Amino acid sequence: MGARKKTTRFARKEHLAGYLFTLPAILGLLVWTIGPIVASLVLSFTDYQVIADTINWIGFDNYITIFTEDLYFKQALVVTLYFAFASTAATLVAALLIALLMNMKIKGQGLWRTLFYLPVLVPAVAANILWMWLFNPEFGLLNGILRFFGLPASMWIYDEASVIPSLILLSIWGCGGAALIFLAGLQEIPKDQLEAVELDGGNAWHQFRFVTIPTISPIIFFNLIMGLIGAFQTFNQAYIMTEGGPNNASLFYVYLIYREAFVHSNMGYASALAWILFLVVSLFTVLIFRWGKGWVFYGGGK
Amino acid sequence: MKGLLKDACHVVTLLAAFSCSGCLFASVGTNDPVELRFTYWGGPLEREAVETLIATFNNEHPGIQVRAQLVPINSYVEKMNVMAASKTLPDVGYFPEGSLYPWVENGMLRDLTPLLTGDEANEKLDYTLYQFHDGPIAGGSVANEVINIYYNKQLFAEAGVELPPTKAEEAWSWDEFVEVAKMLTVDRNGRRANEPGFDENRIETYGVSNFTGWIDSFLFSNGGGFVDETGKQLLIDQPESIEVLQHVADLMYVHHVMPKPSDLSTVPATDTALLTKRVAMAVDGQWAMQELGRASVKDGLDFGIGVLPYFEQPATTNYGTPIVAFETGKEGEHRQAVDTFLTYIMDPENVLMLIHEGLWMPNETAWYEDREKIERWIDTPIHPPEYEEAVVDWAKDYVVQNPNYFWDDRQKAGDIISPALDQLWLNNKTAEEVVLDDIMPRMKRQFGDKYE
Repeated sequence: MGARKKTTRFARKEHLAGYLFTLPAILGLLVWTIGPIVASLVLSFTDYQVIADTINWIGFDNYITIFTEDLYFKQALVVTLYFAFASTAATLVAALLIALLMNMKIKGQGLWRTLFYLPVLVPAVAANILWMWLFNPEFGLLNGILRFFGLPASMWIYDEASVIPSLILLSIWGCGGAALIFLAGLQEIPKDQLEAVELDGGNAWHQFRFVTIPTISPIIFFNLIMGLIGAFQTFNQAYIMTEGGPNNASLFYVYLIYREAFVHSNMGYASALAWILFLVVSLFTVLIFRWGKGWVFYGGGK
Repeated sequence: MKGLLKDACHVVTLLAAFSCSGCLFASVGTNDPVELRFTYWGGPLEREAVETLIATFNNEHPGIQVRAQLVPINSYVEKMNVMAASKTLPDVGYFPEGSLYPWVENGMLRDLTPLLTGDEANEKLDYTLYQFHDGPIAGGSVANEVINIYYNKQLFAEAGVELPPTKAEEAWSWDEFVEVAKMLTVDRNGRRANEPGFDENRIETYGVSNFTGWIDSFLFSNGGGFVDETGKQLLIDQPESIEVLQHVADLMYVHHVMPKPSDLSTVPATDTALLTKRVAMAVDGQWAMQELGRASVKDGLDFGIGVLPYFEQPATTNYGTPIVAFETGKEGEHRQAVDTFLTYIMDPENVLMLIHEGLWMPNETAWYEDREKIERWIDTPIHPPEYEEAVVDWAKDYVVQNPNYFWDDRQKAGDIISPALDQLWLNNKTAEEVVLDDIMPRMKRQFGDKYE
């Protein structure tokens, strides 16, 4: 007799019920996610234009055009990479600092936690419009603060050089979600280890460096990967605040895809652009996973 | 158990009722009106006006029922693409002019030549018809619109400056215009832009609104433009065009009489800007009259209209949303219904309400020549006395057709030109650098030898 247990009628029924219950979700995934993904892969090898009657198989032509002729591909990729790495790094640092603050036993802790998390709840469009006011060079709050301290004002999103840094500032403002995950990690740190450092004559920095960071390294890693993937898909800011300008300085990759697909009707070409983004994101994810092996410590793991 | 049975009966009855009503709706009799869908965009005032127009049409034509659907302009093309993909395109609709050509090229729009050029009694203004490379007429402007100067008379009186000319023959030269704009620009200490001690960083009233989006008229007035009238030769790299671009940028950074792009969010729409004295003059389309008219009646804004300043010769250009008939594959009665609606909405007689409100101008030649028609058009509480010279005559004789009506690469070229011009409007580069170093090499890469 093998080790396999015989399935009882009851268990079979239970399995069936289980599948039936998950069926809507599975169907949804197949029809609304996997289906379009496969379709876009196929379309990326065609000249599909929504408004044309015919679809022709053109092999790798779209991909070749992207790499050899496209006027905006390189610019969009550079803008997106710049923003993705800078904003992810800045957001991680800010979220960790905020989490450390929120973890301290201070008065009104609940209030602070709510305040820092609040931006996450603001709908993206509202947040973007709000920040357009804050960024206003003449009467915006940010320049008001700079002027108050006698500092030179900035053009914020209205200048090629400062538009991406401004958008990074905006993404830091919304780092409450990551901060909350960090906070959960910080509260899991064993007190005895921190005390051990203290007994050995270590200070707060040593505690942070040798206990806190290694303990929460899986969380740093998680936030890093999720933040990066999210940042690669930045769209709202370009769509609502800058329209990719000035002078294409905020032409995010997903905005370029959107423009090709829905403004110029080139669905095939836009699909090819999307698959290139998928490959770029995958590549960076794999690289970061490899890099992570060197510094991410899983408690009790290898 | 009995209760359960009763509930089940209710459900069955309800379902039956629903399905029957479905049957009723599904079985369309031959006497039922033809249903048309019409998509458009517009602000609250335009929406109100268009809905009234449609309701009147539906009342007068019991055999046709038009259903109007407002689609925001920002996502209009996106929406049309999605509708095309799902084969649910409307029958008739506005269409953003810059995005028209790919739809013409792919045969998605019906040729309206017989409809728009056939009726001699209702001859349309030539320049309001959309036609690429002598191909089909893809649409006509539902309303004509030209560019003018609007101004707050009170600010002119305070500055002691003569009002803008209303006759093209007397239009200001560019230099005269700059001088006037300087006299009208006032900082927060009350100093004018032509006075010593003027603080360019704290401007209370700008001489003129930012019109970088409406520069075609000025390019034409200097013999330049983005492209020539055949659509086959680029003009943007000509010295005449570069000169105008630089002059417009200089209004912001040399003369300080026009808001910079970064100041734009502090400048409200034309009516409020003139009313609140944020700007003294606004270069804008005739359509601004609707809002200005309301501001004059409701808030007592004393506004006037003048012709544009010129470089070599006076010129303006025309805008005007094309109205198109989509190729939906429906023939026969349906097609006739579309034609009836199009003929109706394209006839100034039927849209006088929109014309009286100041939103539209007639799109037919007779309304610019026939005394009686002109009077019926402009004799309203909101059209100022100088309107006939500054707008009617101006539109009759000084329009250079906008490339939107014939240039097939309008959209792709725009994707190159607009971002590059940002650098000029932000004062990072000169007009010559932008055009020769940024625009032309990219045009060459995008279009190859097409414009050699």
